[in-house]
Amino acid sequence: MKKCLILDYGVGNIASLTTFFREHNYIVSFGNKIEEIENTELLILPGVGSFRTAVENINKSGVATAIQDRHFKQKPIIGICLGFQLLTKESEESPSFPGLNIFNGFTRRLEEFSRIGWDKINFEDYENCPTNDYFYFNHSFGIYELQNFGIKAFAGTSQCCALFIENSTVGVQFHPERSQNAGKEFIIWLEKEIWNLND
Amino acid sequence: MIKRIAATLVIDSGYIVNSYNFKIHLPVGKLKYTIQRLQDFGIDEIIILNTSHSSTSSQDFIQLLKSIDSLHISTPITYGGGITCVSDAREIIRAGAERVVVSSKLLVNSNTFFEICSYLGEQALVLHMPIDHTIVQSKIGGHDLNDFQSVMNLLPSNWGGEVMVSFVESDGAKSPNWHNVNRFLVCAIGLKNLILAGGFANAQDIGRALSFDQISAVAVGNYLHREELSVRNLKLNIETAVEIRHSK
Repeated sequence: MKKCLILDYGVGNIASLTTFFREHNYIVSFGNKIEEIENTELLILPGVGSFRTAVENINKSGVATAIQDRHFKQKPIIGICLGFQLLTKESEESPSFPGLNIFNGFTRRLEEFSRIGWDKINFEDYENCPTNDYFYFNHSFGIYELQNFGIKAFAGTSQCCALFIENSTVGVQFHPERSQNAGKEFIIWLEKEIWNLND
Repeated sequence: MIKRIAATLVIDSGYIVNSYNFKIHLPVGKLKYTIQRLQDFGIDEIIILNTSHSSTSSQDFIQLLKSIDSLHISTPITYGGGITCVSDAREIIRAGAERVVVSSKLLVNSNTFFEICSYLGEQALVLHMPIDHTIVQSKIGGHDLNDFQSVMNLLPSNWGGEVMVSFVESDGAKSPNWHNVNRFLVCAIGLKNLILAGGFANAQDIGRALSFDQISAVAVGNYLHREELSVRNLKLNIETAVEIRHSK
């Protein structure tokens, strides 16, 4: 069994993520201590919530550096929706509360105000795609101007990034835990192709 | 972003009910079995409207949501009923819902609506607007079209949530009253991200509703309890120019 930690920053759909990762043979824990972040095989930054609340709570628990260290040590991280946005420099949602600055990009308000529903993702210059199925999105802010080199994907006609992978850090704007079969296929793909995590 | 077909599950005293005009509730089954079936046949979203909140504590609803999640449900869940403060909304999201349905009364009568927006993000809210063309006060309250416009004016023009419009007089009917739906759509010109509910019970009406630019989803209620394959059959029979998702 693999271990994963859902980072507790006071917001997020904890129950659905717990169920989802348990289904994928993870022992799921929930916390915000530095040693927990260092010792887990997979760190999950959950979605649903406001940028400011999450940043305030991350700063309060003093774990920003531990998360950044994981990225540079190429230990698996997945940021989902808000969790993806937290990996960027800053968000228009709360400009005076800087993000984790792991991904060199900005979170801005969507031109279309919000994207709620299902869409397919298209990878940029990458052929080994996980699935051609629809994923579930629910966001009103998105990530633009990503400067890093990595695996990138976009959804439909939207200009904001749907997926970005650098080192073993994965950011997804969609919710794999709510994307039915597509979400399950996606996590299996990450374990095999990106994280090299086995049971 | 493709258009969606959502299931509306009205809950009364812990049971799913067929709802008629939001006044008469007839029990049809247990929540967890229905949710599993809807997911298996490819529903895009499940909207739970709990009408029994006056007699049940919010902790009971959270237990209800947790029991749903233990079924390995990987379909987006939106939950409404009894949300009166930020704390209610936060606990519902933590228990497994992606979004909360908030009554239009909360927007009109207090600042709580915007506090929830600020805490969860606008996209996590669905504003519920029951439209009652008969202007007879229903169990959940009702608005006329003038009310609708004045309530919408309270929202910022770039608000990122969705608005669920329930036609009270058509709730539980075999077809919506298209005269009233068209009157509403005229009022809603320029708006986006509207979910329509009330009387959408066949592929033809749902396909027609989804073809309007303002409409992001149609919520279907009683029809989905008629037979096991209702979701799949409904999707197969929708003839519309817009793309919808079919389960594999």
